[in-house]
Amino acid sequence: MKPREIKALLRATPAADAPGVDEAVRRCRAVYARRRTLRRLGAAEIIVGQLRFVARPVWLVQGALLVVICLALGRAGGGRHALAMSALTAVLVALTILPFYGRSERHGMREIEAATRVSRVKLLLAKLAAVGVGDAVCLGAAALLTLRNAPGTALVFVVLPFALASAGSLFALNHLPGGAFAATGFAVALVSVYWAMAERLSRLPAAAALAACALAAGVLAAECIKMARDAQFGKDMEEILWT
Amino acid sequence: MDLKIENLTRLYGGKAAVDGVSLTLTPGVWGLLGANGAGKTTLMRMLAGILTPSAGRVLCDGADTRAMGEAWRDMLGYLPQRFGFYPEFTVADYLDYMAVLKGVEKRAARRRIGELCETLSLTRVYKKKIRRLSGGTQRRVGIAQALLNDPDVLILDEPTSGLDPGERVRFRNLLSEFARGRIVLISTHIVSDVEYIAAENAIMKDGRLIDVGTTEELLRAIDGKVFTALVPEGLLAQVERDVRIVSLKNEGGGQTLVRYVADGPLLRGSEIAAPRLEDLYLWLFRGEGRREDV
Amino acid sequence: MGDKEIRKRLGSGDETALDELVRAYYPDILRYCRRHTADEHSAEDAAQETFCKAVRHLDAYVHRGKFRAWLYKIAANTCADFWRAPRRDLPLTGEAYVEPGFDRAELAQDLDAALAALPEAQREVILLRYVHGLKLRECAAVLDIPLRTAQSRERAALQALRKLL
Repeated sequence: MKPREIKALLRATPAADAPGVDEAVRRCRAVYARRRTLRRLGAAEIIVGQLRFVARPVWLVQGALLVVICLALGRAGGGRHALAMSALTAVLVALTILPFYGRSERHGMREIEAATRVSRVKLLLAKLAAVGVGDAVCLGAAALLTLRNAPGTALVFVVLPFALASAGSLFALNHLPGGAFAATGFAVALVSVYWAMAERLSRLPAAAALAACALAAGVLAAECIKMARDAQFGKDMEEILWT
Repeated sequence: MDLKIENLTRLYGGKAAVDGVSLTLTPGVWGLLGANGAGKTTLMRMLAGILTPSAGRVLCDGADTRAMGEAWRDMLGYLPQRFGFYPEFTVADYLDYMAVLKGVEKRAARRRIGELCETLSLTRVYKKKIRRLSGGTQRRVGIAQALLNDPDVLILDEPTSGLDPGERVRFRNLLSEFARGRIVLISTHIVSDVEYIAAENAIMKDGRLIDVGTTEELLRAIDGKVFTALVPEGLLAQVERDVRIVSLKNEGGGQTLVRYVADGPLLRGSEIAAPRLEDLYLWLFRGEGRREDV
Repeated sequence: MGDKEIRKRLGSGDETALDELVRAYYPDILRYCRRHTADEHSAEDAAQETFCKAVRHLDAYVHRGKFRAWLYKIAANTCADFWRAPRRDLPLTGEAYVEPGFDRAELAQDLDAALAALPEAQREVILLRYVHGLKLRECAAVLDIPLRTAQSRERAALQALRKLL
C-alpha cells in the first residue's frame, strides 16, 4: 500500500460517539467561572507604577545635584574655568547612576523581585527611565546656564562629557571588577582632560563633537542592551544565587 | 490542582545541587526537610521560576510552568530564605511596591494589604521603616508580600527563622488556614513547624529526595529506634560522645533525661519512646545539632 | 475555531465559546483517552479531567495559540496518572487502541492489526498525526520529543505500515 493510501485510511477513521460531553461542558463552565484570571499588565502601567518607588532615591540625589549645578554655574560667569565646571557638572550627572547600579542585589531585593510577574527587563527599564528623566532635567539646567555663560558651548561642554562619562561608567560597571571605582577613575580622568584643555576644546568643530557623541551613545546603547539581555536570561542572577 | 515535579536537576560545575527530584504536590501543607546544603533552596528557586533547571520540568495541571510564564508567576507566592528591603521603604511602601510588581490592581491591593496587616499584626508598624523593625516583624512583612496576590501555590523557604515561639504558633495557624485548596510548600530545619500542620513531608539529602510521606509513614522507619533514659550528670559527657542524642532535659537531682536514636537500647534503663519527626531528622542527618532544654 | 476567535469571544464574556470549544475537542480527546486508559469509565473520567485542567489555565494558553497541542499534552499526563492509580492489575490489552462501538471494514481491521504491531513510540506519532490531525510540531510538543525525532518516528512508522499492509 502506498503511503498516501495509508494516510488516507488513517484519516478516515470515523469519529466515535462521545458520551459524557454534556457533563464535561457543565463541569468546565463551573471551573471556568472559578478560574484565576490574569489581569493584563501593560508596559506603561508597570513602568509608571514603579517610578514612584525607584525614582524617589534617584531624584533625591539628582535634585541635590541640580542645586549644586545652579549654584556653581549660576555664578561662574564666562571663561575657561566656567566651561570646565560645566563639564564637571555634566560628568557628575552621569555618575548619579553609580549608587543605583546593582541596588537590588545590595539590598537583597533581587530574588523576591525575580519571582513576580514583572520581568527583570521591565524593572530595569523603569529604573533607567527614572534615572534618564532626572538626568535630562539636570543636563537641561546645566546646558541653559552654560549657554548663558558662553554661547555655543553646550554640545562640547555638557552633552559630550555626559555622553562619554555615561558610556564609560556603564561599560566599567558591566565589564570590570570593582566597576564603580573604574567608573569614578574614568570620570576623574575625563574631568582632568577638560580642565587642562578647556581652551582647545572650545574650538572643537561641532561635527567632531557630534561624531564623538554618536560613538558614546552607541556604546551606551550597547551596554543597556547587554544589561537587558542579562536581566532576561538571568545569568548573573544564577551566579549570585549560587553563593 | 496538582504540581508535578519531574526529574528536576540543577548542576553547578560538575556538582548536582538538586539531583533528579520527582514529586507530586497536591493542595495542603507540604514540609520540605533537610540539612543545610541538601538542595531545598535550589529546588524552591526552580519551582519559583527564578532558576533554570539543568534538566526536568515542573507541570501545573499538566502545563509546563516555564511555558506558562507570567500566568505561573501570578499563581505563585514566594518568600526566600534571605531577603532584604530598600532602606527607604516603610512597610506600606514595600507592600505597595510588591503589589505593583505582582500586577495586583490598586484597589484590590489596598484591601488585601489591609487584611494581611490585620492577620499578621502589622497595622501598628505600617508606616514605619522596615529596617528599623525586629527580625521577626520583618519576616512577617515578607510573608505578607508572598500572600499579596492570593497565590494558589505558596513557597516559603525557612519562613519561621527569626520568629519567637509565640509568633511561630500564630504563623502555623495562619498557614493551616491558608492551605485549604492551595499548595503550600515550606522548607525548614525546625521540624515542629511542620510536624503538626504538614499533611506530607519530603526529605532531601545531598540534592536527592530520600523519602516522601505523611508523618506517620515516615516515622515508621524509626519505629522502635527512639529511646529515653535517665543519665547521671557525671556520665553525660561520655554519653554525648557515644550516642546520637536528640535532646536533653534536666530532670533535677543530678539526672538528665536523654532522648536518643539507635538501632537498639544503648543506655541502662532505656525506654522506647514514640518517634517524632525530630528524631527522624537526627537519624537521617547526624551531626546537625540537637536541642537542649535545661 | 481558531484560538484567536476563542480568545476574542471569551474575552468579551461570551461563555458559549467555552461550550463550543469543549464540544469541538471532546470526541477527539475521548478517543485519545480510550486508547490510553484501561477501560471506558476511566477514559471518560480522564477526558473530563483533562478539560477541567485545561479550562483552569485557559487564559494562559489561548494567548499563546498552542491550545490544541497543550490539550493533548494534558490528556497524555492525565491518562498516565490513571495508569499509575491503583488499577495496575488490569492488563493492557494488545487491542487497547481499538475503539468500541462501531463497525470496521475489513481493511480497517487490517490497519488496526498493523498499528498494533508497531512499536508504541511510532504508533503514538502516527495516531496523533493522522487520526487526531495534529501537525508534526504539535505531536512533538505533546510527546515531549524533538521535532526531528517525531519526523523519524513518523517515517519509520509509515515504512513499517507499508510492509504490513
